[in-house]
Amino acid sequence: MRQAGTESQVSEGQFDAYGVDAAYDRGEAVCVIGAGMAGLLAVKNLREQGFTVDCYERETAVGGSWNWRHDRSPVYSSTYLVSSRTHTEFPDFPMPDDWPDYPHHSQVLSYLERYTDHFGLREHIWFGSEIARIEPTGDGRWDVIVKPVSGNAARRLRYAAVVIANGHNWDPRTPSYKGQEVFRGEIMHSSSYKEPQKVRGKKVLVVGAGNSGCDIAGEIAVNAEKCWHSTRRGYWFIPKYMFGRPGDQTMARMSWMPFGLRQKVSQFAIRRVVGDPRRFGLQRPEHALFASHPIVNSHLLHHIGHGAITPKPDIDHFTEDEVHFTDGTSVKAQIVVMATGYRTTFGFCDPELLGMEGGDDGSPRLIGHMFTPRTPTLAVAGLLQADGGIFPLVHWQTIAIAKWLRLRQNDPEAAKQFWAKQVPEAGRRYVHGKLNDSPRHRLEISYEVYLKALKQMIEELDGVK
Amino acid sequence: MSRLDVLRLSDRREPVPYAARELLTSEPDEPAGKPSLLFVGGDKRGARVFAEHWLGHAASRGFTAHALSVRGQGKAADVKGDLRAWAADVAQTAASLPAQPVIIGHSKGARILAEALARYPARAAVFVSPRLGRLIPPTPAGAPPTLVVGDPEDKRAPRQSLEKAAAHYGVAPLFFQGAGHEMMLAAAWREPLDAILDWLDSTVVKE
Repeated sequence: MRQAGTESQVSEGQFDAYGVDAAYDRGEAVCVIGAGMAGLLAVKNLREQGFTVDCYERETAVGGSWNWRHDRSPVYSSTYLVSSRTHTEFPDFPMPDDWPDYPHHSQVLSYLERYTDHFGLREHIWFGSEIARIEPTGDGRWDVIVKPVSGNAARRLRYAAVVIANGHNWDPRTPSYKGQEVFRGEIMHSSSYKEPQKVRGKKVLVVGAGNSGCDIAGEIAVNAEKCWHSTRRGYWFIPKYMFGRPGDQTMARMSWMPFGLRQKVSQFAIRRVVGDPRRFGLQRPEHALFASHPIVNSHLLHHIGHGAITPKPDIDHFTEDEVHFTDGTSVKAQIVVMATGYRTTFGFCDPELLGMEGGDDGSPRLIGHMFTPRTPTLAVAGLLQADGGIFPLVHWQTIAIAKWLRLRQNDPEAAKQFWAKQVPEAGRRYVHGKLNDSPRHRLEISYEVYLKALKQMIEELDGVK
Repeated sequence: MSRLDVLRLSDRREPVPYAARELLTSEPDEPAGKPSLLFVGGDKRGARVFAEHWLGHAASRGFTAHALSVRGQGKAADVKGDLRAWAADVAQTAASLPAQPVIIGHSKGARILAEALARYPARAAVFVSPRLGRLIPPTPAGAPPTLVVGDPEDKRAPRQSLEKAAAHYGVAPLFFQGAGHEMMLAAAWREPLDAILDWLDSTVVKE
C-alpha cells in the first residue's frame, strides 16, 4: 500500500469513543467534503503531496452528480457530455481513446470509478457520512462535525485544513411565478426529470435555456404529445460538431487569434452554420458569444424546425390549467419542467467564512475561485462554470490547493509572502473582456484566462518551495 | 525552468487519434502486492525485446510486468506517430491498468517516457540507457521517484547524457560497466534488472 507505513490509519470503531464535545485530533490530516469529481481529484492530489486525507461522502458511492443512482443527481437518461472527451478528461488520467467524442453520463461515472480504484482512493473515503458543521478552531485548524446519514451519532474531528468539494448542481433553484399555487398541472424541477416515460402522451412545457433545459426539451420533444420551450432571452447555440470536429476542438484551433478576433470569427461562423435564431421563433442573442456560459446543442433548432418544439418567451403567470407568457399567448400544459439551474449551497458553514455578502444567492468571493481571504486553510474545489470542460480546471485547482497546504507546512515564511500577494486578488474575475456580473454569473470563468492564472499560481508555489 | 503545460493546446486542437497497441504481460505465480511494471522500448522491435529475459524475471520477483509497443512498433507497426502520440499511447496504457505502474523506458523509449510523465503520474520512473536527444523533459505529474541506469561506456547513451538526464530529475545515475546499450538482451541482462527491482523494492514497495 502506498505510504501505508507513514500515515495513521483510522479503523472502524475508532471514532465511537468521541462525541461532539471532545474533538478527535487528526493531526496534519486534511478533510475533503464530497466524493464527486472535485472531491476525488482533491483526495488524489492531496495524497500525492503526502497528506493524510479523510473524505466524507453522504452517498454510498463515488461520482457525485455523475452517479445517476444518487437522489441528488441531476443527470437524466440521455445526458451526454457537452465538452468533448479530450477537453474533459483529467490531464493525468486520460479517458480511453476508443470512447466516442461525447461520452454518455454512465461512461463518465465509470471513468470516475476507475480513477478512484486506480489511485486507491476508496480507503480514504467515508461513505454515508454527512458534514453537519465546520468550525474554525481559531489557530488555523478546523473542527468538523460528521454525522451518519442514517442515525445521529455525530462525531467531532479536528483537521489541519478543509477542502469543500460538495458540488453546485444539486440544490434546485426554482423561480416562483404569479398564480403558480393554483396551477393544477405538475411542476417539477429538471433535477427530478430522469426518464422520458414520464412525459409520454403528455403536454409538456420546459422552462430555461441552459444546457440541461435545451437537452431535456430535445428529449421531451420526441416523447411527449406536445413540447413548448420557454426562454427568457436569446442564446448562442454552439453545435456539437463544427467543420467535422467537436466544436470545442474547432474553437481551440482558433486560439492563436486575439480574443476579440476569435469572438468575431466564431460569431460569423455560427451565424452562417446555425443561422438566425429569429427564423426559428427564438430571440436573437443580445450578448456577444462567450460573454455568457454557451449552450452546446445541435438538436434544439432541429426539433423546432420539425415542429416538435414550439418556442415560447418568458412565463408571465399561471392560471388553474394554463401557463401565460409575456407575449400574451398561453398553453394548456400538463407538466412544467423547470430547468432553471441550481443554487450554490454550503449548509455546513457560516456564509461569512466564505466571504459571501448578504443578498447574494450564495456565490462566495474567493481568491482564484478557491481560497477564502479570511481562512487560508479552507479551500473550495470545483465551484466554477466555464466555457469548456471543467474537469481539467478542477484538477489544476486541487494541485494548487495541495501545493499551497504543503507550502504552509514546509515553509511558513514563504507561505506568508505568497498569501500576502494573493489576498488582494479575492473576487477577481478570470474572463476575456466583459462578462455579466450578476451573482448568477459569478461562477463563470473563461477557460484559458483561468488556466493561465492557475499555472502561474502553481509555479509560484513550486518556486518558493 | 518550469515546463508545466496546463493549456495542452496541441491536444485540444488535434487530439491524438486512437491506434491499436501491443501489450505483452508476464504475471507472477503468486500476487506479491507489488506495483506493476510497464516497459517501453525505443525502436521498431517494440515490446518483444523485453519479453526475452526481463519480463519473466521481473514476474519471478513478484512484479506483474508489461511491455508495450506504441504505434509504429512491434505488432502496432503500421500506424505512424510522433512523440506526442507515443507518449499518449504510454499514458493510455498506464491508465488502463488496475493500479499505478512503474514505467521503465529504454533508449529512445526513455524519451517517450519523459514526455509521458507529464500525462500520467507514474508510481516511479526508470530511465534505462536514455537517449533524450534535445528534449527538455516536461514537468512530471505527481513527482514520481526516478532512477537513471546505464553503461558509462555505451556510445549511444554516453556518460554525459546519463548524467544530464539524472541531473534533470535531481538524482545520481546508476552505472553498469560493460552492460552495453541493449542491456536487456546482453549476456549479463540479470544484473541491471535486479538492481532496478532492488531499488523499487526499497523505494516504492513498502509493507
